[in-house]
Amino acid sequence: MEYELSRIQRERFDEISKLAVRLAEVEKSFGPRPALAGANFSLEWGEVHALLGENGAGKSTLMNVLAGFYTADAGILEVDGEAARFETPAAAADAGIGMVHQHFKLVGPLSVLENLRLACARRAGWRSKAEALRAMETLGKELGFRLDPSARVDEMAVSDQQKLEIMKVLLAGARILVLDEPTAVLTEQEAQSALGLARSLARSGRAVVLITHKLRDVLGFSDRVTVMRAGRTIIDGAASEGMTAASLSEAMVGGAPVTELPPPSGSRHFKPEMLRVKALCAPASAHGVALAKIDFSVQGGEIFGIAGIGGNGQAELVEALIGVRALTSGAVLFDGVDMPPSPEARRERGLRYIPADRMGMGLFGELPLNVNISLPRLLGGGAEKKWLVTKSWMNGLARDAISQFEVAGAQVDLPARLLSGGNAQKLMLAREFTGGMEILIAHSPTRGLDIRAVQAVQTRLRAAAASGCAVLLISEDLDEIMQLSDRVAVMSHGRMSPAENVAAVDRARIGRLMLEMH
Amino acid sequence: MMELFTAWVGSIPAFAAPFLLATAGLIINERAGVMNLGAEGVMAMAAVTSVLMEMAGHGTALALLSGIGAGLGLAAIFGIMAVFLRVDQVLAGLVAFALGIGVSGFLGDGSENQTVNGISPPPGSDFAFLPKLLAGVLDQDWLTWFAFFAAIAVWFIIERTDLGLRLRAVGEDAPAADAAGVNVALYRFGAVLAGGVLCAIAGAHLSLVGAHIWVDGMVAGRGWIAVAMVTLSRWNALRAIAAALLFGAIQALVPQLLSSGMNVPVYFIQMSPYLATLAYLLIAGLFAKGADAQPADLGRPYLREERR
Amino acid sequence: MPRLILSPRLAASRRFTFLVLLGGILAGLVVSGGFLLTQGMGLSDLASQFVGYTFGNPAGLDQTLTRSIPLILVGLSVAVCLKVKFWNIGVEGQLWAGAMAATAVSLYHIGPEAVRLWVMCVAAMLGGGLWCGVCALARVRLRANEVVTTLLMNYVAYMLAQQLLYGAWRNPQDSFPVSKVFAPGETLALLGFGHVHAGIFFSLGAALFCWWLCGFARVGYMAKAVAANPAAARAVGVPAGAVVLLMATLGGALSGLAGFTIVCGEEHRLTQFVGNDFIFPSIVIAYLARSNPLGVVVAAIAIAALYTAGDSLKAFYQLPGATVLTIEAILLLCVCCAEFWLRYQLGWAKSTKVAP
Ligand SMILES: Nc1ncnc2c1ncn2[C@@H]1O[C@H](COP(=O)(O)OP(=O)(O)O)[C@@H](O)[C@H]1O
Ligand SMILES: [Mg+2]
Repeated sequence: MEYELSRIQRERFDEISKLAVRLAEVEKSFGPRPALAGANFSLEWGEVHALLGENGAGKSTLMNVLAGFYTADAGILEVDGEAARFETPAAAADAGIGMVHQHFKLVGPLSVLENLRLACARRAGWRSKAEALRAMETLGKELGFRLDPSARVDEMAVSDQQKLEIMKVLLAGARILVLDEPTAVLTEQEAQSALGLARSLARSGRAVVLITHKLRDVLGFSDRVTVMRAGRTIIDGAASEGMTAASLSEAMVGGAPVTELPPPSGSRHFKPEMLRVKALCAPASAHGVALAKIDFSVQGGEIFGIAGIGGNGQAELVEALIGVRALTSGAVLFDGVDMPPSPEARRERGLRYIPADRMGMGLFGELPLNVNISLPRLLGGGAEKKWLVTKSWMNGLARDAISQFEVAGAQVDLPARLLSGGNAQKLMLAREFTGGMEILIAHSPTRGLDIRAVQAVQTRLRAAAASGCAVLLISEDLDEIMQLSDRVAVMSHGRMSPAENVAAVDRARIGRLMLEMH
Repeated sequence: MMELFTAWVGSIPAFAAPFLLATAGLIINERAGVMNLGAEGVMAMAAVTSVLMEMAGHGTALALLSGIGAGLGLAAIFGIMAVFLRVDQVLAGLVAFALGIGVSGFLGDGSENQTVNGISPPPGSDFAFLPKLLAGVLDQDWLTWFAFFAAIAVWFIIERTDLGLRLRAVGEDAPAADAAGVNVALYRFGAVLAGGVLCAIAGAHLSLVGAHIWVDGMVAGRGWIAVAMVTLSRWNALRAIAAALLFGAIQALVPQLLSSGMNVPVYFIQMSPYLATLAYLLIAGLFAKGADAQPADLGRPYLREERR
Repeated sequence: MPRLILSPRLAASRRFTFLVLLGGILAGLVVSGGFLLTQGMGLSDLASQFVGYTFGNPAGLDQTLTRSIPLILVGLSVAVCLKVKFWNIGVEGQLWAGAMAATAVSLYHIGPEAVRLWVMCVAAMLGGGLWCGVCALARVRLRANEVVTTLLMNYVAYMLAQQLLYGAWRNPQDSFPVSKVFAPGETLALLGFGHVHAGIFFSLGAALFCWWLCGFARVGYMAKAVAANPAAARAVGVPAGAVVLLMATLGGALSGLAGFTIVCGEEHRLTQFVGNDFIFPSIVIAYLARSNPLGVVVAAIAIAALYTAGDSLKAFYQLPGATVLTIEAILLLCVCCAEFWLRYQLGWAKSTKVAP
């Protein structure tokens, strides 16, 4: 045993010279909950290293530690074999580390050239605009694309913004590149070319980290893979070649095999059509796509699944359905009549909504649980309380919700932002599953949750359908869609494929639709 | 009538200069993302300090410098609150306003209404060879001239230099600026100080050039007007010149009208620039124009590890 | 090397919040007291002025209570607006608008005489509500910054009042810039204690109403939701724009009501000075009370006492009129800075292991 260890250590020692980055036993918490609980990661020169994990696993946090955005609570960081500690992003950049963040760090109202000058002028030693322009052109030729230097960044396509980010880190002299979910917002071709670019950068002697939660990116484009779960490293830098989708996803979601939800009990009877969306068109959101002629309908008792890669119009569709995004044309019908336009009126008609971004669009982080739970019951004509809203009434509701939906670690006066992801989602469900629910829109309802919470949420969705609701499930997780839905359609680039019966559908073809409809 | 007109036009630049200085100072603040409602207080501190120093016989230059120092001190208090302690900027600005007005009242207590030499235009016209109207406009004291050059310099620095680029980045998108290696807090604090200097000069202009005395309440809302003028000039120091001339023109008109004995609705005339600014705000909102001019991160504090 | 790091504080307990606030207020009082000591006052003078005169003496108490009537209302005005994160720094303009509306009702004999006072009251609230409501509408519809619009509306109201006082409403008898004195039926009754008038019932009633509205009515909870997360509020069906509009209009109406209590309770006519010196006190009051309507009453009385003390300091110690403003500023400064600890914490970074 002793011998074994020291041999491994010796080998490690030999390897060190090859390592671009070593992170060991890194810990970081935001408040009481650890985001990183002893994460390890090593990166070699010349490789594309995939960093895989579910949402919330801590991938971005770990790389933010490397790039100087977060300071770790504990742990070791070595760059090129030497111990390092970065207090600021600038210090990390000086050490040759460049990160392209999930949400780009570009100054929107400035031009392409101004953004480059801002980030790189000092490190690249430019003394004039002309010099910056020349450097930009040269690099553009090398990378095989061209950007208009005078274009305003917030008016550019997302893919161009990403190219600009890559140029930015390269011109700042980065030899170690971190790309945080670069393919999440791109079309298939764009994603292919971005991944290809990552590969060629690695081959030119740099080291590239590719954060993703897509197995395809790992298997197709990376040399090694590290898998994280709940702030820890599960697979530490294994060669991608031997990996299979099954082994990776098992590592991602947990050691225990994912127990299948029991099939829906009893025979299902669908009620007549409750929700119909007719030729719906709506404008794009800031970084999204416009909706083009969306058509579908959902029956009572049915779960209608919408599959698709995030950012293909799902958020716009949801907003249009709940009434916070105006339509350019088309209609949304409820039981055959036009939905009232305002969100409050739609809610009163029985529309409920579980947003993808719980804390952003769903809960009120600063407000206590009892207010979060009782707020919907205070609204509209059917409000339960009009003139005297008492604490005891709210507390009663909150206690019922907490026990019924098994929200762990919750008191009625706890601010919602202090709940963990899974419990926040249970609170969300508890609030939305109030009396009078007829249509439920669930947008990525299990994203970032642990396996038990996932099952709890999925069981609730089934129960909602069984009770006669029309359930619209929008998810990036094809497995989830296939498991829960009765019918399925695919969204891509603001369009929707015709709905198909899930029993008759070919999974591979759905996958292709998700990727190929562009 | 022509006389009156010439006198009016000639007095506009000196009326406009304090507005212009303060607005240019606040533009520096706001382009870095900091809204400073304390300009009124800073101006009062500078106005009283410079008069007191001049009364003590220290000479105009030293008086001006100490006025700037006093204003800078108050701006620094505001900056520490708003930038480092992350107090809500509206609140921090109001505190600076009240502190400046209050303390200047104490400092100037007992020294009110005592005339000082201050700064005056050179005797005789340097521009006598020009038409009378034009010469009247150009015959200004050096601090008034400075105000206009300062505004142009502020515009140039913000829009055309690397320093200005970093400043704008901090105000538009603090996280992105941070990622690009700009020290957000330092730039914001620096902007508060730089803006404080210009607001202080504006205050000293009021007492040394305009009134040649200190009276409590002398700033009379000019600092607040400057806050609104930043919006009116769409965060652009060159447009601020036009806005300041508009306000200055109206302010200069009132004494002329009163001395002429004409029966005109003086207060309605004085109200007009406020209404114009309001109307501008509403129209800009209607056409969604104001939205792109206002620095996107105005009023939002930044801490790297804090979720936004 | 150990390093200090600043990080957001997750949650501050109620007790800690209270202690921090108390600490801030105490610090403010100590600094203010120290400041007055440097101005030549003795400790015993401070005690007799601030405690003895303002509360212990009928004349002082009279002045304090009378002054607190409009202060409670403008403090409520700011507090109610803050509930939806709307910065109302236009209470003076709204107060002027209310005072002018009430005066117009009196001058033009609007409504039957028997209920004239009530018509004046409603008119004042409408005037103030309108003055603030348009700013709220501009923010909701046109995204115009309310700090700037409410600020500008102060000047518009002030200039309008001056124009009227020097023009159409100038008292024909002596041609001073004041309006005609209101008829006896158009004024608020004195309560038999110095200058304290029935306006105090309006103030206390308004505070109770706001307390109910913010703490027990549906709208109060909707306002909380809008302030906490506007996007989520809209998504659950809170009419966010309407809530902001409603609360801001109510805030304006409260300031208008303050104008009503001044013209009908104290001055009995419109003068040039009814709306001066309210902006900063209103902010201080709302902030010290943490926007709690009942807290506003306490804070407003405390600030009114400060004004009473300030007046006597001016008379007996020749301190300038700016004393009160300075003390208010120091108080607010200390409280704001203390609140920093509610939101952030400073700690030593755990030492990191050194690489082998
Ligand atoms: N700045 C922050 N403040 C508070 N919590 C954070 C912050 N950044 C990340 N977290 C939390 O840390 C955990 C890991 O997040 P992240 O690293 O973004 O996950 P991933 O990138 O793997 O999806 C999540 O629970 C997230 O909510
Ligand atoms: Mg991430």
